[in-house]
Amino acid sequence: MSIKSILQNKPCSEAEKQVIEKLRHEANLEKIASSQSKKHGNEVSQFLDLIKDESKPDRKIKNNNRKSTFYLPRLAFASFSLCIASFLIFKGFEKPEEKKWIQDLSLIEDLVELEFQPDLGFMENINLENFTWEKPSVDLNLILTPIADFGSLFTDIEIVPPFNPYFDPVQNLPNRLIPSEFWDFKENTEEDFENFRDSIPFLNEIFSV
Amino acid sequence: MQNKESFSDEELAIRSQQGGMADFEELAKRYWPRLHRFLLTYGNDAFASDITQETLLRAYQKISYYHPKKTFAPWVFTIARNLALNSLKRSKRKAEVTMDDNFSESNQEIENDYEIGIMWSKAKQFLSKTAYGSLRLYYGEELTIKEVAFIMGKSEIAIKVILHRSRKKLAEYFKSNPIKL
Repeated sequence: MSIKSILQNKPCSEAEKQVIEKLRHEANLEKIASSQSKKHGNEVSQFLDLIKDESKPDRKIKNNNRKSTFYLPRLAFASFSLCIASFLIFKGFEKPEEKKWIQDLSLIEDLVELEFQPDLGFMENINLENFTWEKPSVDLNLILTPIADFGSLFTDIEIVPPFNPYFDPVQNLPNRLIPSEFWDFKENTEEDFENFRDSIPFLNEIFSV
Repeated sequence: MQNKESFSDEELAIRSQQGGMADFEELAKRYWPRLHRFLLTYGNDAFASDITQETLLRAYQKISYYHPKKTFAPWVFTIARNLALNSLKRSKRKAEVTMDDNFSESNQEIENDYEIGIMWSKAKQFLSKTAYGSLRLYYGEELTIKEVAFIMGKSEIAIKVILHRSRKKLAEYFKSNPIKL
């Protein structure tokens, strides 16, 4: 069999011609039989009922309602992502090594509480007018702390939200400060403590020992 | 008023695009048995019925996409083939046991109230799905080579070669096992 004869679609042998004739003959018989088939008739009428039902306006409204619910999970996921992103942008994050100053602060304060009446004059440098000690109507801790905990699962950076209620008291001091004031306070702390130490002679002796 | 049966498939499809429900009903009546016979290529009687229904429903919903200058049969047969292949893929993914299919195959004679010809039954047994589908469309539904190629997603030359090989294979079989019509 040459390629040319295949491409010209020529049946080459008598046997093949017979096969074609038989196939066509059987196909015609099938057409007649299937046109008289009750089963097909029932199926077609069922299908026609279905599309008539489909074309009713009530049905279309139901379908549209069903489609609209499809966007709810997406919307929930998008708002959740937005919460995390906005938290990280506005509240920032801090590496664990930078917390060292907080430990120093707590050690000194313990010492002061045990032996001396502390002179907390340096506290005057902090603008107390900007503290918001009033409890807000909605406690953001309830929302932000789980998000921060969840976010810290995926990074090795420890997220330190100022709203975290589990902070120790010293760290909790700037609890309700706005972020810029919080960081200003942190930067001036060492200097403030040096002034504080200098103002009490006993402390100088202790530190020199 | 003109009888619906006198309209061609293409005329009915165009009228359906303009919102003629009765015209699409006529199309459905014409194409249900044709699609069903073609879809037996890919599965048993129940499978063919399901996909036929889905095909016509899809055609009804998407009738606006039909190009009025083209023939209707290849468009609807292509939808049928794509839906059948998608359904087979899904069932493979679900790792359905093929025993169900075999069981249904054996009951095909009972489910259908008309018989599939011996030649076609043997062709389905010996040929691949693509070859049987091409044979069914070309000799059974009397579509052109170009239309068959379009539906089966192959070139015209490939379809010619497939048809030639299928004929040859069947001729060899029936030479050794002659049957009477």
